Amino acid sequence: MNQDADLLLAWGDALSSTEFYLRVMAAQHLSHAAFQRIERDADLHALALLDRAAARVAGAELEPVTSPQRRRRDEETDELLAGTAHPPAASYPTTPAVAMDEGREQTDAVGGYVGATPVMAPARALAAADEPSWVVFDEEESPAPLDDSDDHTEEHTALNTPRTVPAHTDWDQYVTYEDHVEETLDYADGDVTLDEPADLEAVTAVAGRPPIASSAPTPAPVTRTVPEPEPDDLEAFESDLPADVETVLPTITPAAAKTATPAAPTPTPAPRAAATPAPEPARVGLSGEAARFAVDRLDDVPDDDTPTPGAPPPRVTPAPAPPRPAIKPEIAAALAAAASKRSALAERVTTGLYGSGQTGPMVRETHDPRPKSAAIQLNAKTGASKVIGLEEEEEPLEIGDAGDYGEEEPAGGSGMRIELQEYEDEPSIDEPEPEPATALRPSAPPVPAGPTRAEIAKWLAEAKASDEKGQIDDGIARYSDVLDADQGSLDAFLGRGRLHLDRGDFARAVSDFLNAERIAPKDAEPQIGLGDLYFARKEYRQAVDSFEQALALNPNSAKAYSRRGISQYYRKNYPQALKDLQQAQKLDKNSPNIVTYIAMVQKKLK
Amino acid sequence: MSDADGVELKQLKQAFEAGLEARISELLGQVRAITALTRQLAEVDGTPSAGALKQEIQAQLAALRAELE
Repeated sequence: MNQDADLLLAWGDALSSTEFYLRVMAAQHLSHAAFQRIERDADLHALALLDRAAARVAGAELEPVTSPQRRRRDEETDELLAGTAHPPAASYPTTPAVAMDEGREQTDAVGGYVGATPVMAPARALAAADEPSWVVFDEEESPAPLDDSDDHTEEHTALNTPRTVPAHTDWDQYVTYEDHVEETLDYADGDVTLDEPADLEAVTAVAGRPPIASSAPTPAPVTRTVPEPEPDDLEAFESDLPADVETVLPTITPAAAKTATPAAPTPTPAPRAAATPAPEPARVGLSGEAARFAVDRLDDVPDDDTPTPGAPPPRVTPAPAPPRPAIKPEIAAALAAAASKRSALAERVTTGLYGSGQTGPMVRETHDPRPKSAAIQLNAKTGASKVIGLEEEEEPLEIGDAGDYGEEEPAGGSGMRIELQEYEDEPSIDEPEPEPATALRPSAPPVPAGPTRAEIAKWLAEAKASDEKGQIDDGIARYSDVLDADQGSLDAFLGRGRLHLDRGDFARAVSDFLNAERIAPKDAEPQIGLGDLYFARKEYRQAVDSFEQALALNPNSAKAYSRRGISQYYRKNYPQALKDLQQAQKLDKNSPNIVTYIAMVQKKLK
Repeated sequence: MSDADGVELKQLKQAFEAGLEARISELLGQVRAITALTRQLAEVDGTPSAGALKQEIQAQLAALRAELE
């Protein structure tokens, strides 16, 4: 038995309580972005202190602060970061605590921790140094804070600063190759469409280990190092794409695109760098076709390839580009149909007043410095056209005496007359007007109407029923459903907060109670909830404060009197406890256990 | 309240929040470091390094208490 067990337990309780206070204080008074920065910076402070301690306590194998709860919290933080303009998981894979837990080391320019001293073991190696190892945080290169409405006055210059990555950066520390292979297999199986640039992260990361450049808030232009296929071919191919190509591309799964690729020779097992094109950074805008090219290239990656820890991706000579993949029959048919439609459209379009003059007839009078486009009658079948007059004149031209032009005058005629000949509508012209490109796209699914008030009330009743049955997880899920539909539901926040409290999840409980307080600042229930939270943590002074606030809002709350009385009892303030409990009994004779509580206090007073 | 007062108040608020953020970060770091040291002490109790580790924890606890007060 540890002789200092009691002391350690006391320290542990005090430290846990202190940490809780500090985090609640930060959550209450600071923005969410600041709260996250605190979480991150506190880890760095802790590491620095541990390094100092390691320098003083020779032989002690200090371990980093890790626990399942910490790991889960850090993962949640990563999820939050992934949904913002922050570097996604590929480039900012984890918070320092998780990195430590997995034995990784923070090196420079990774995740914004520029200049960070490698933690623990390397720091211990430097323990004899005069100056303590301190984690240096370079503000300019720091990960940008979350976009928080409270922080709109801050200048997030770091967001616009692309990161530069030194050549010795070991990417394999942060993104495991197995993860990419797994994601790549998902792509290859057609589980994921490749039209979204975000979905290409894994593809590009495997292909070229790109530099971190995605921290800018504006996603365009997308920086990728995807092995670019034949640029000319790609451009030519894309130029041939019909306007309604979006209706075709989503039906193309990567697997289908892969099958359309001509059979390539089976690559011999070789390092990945030799099989993939050079990871030369290239700024290319990825289309669906480029994504398919990328998937095809990934097929060339041998499965037994494993990254060499600590070794930078070698630069090799680019491999020759693969032949252009064959186009699937249905795509070719769609392209042909679109091309014919486009040519038909072109035949029906005049060149305009100042057009090129190569496809439309132009008429120029001597006094007019610029030629004018002639009105033309199109014959879509033959392509022939007849000039029937100037564009600005609708009537047939009367040219007057032909003698003026030195021509022979026909017998009996007084001049030349151009007769208008009315053509019947050509059947080909009756081709229906092409629909706008947007109309060809599949219409967006109708936005489902939100739940009605009655439905929300029903869900809330079901959540309360689960709550009363003691089904904590089910109740939390149902309350969450209610809150998804109605963010202003006081009962849902209070109910879920109490269930979190029952489960011992104080952080989520305090969040729900604070939200309830925000919704109903004049309501006593959120204060009672916070008081219960403090009471559950045996922090009776704070609990009394919360119950007093509740009583200030509702002086007739028997529940608040009862809870405050019990809190006073545990603070050994028995007279006040008896007074509160008796007041609670006076207000509500059916207060739970009120008689028992009063008996307890009276016993102490004797 | 004039606009200038509003700007000054906002700057004060920002300064307060920045200071609070730094302060809480530091205190939390101290707490976590001591927690780790305490956990380590429980594991190495009885070894020669336990005494030095305990002194280190007590020193850091004293520093933390002074900071909090």
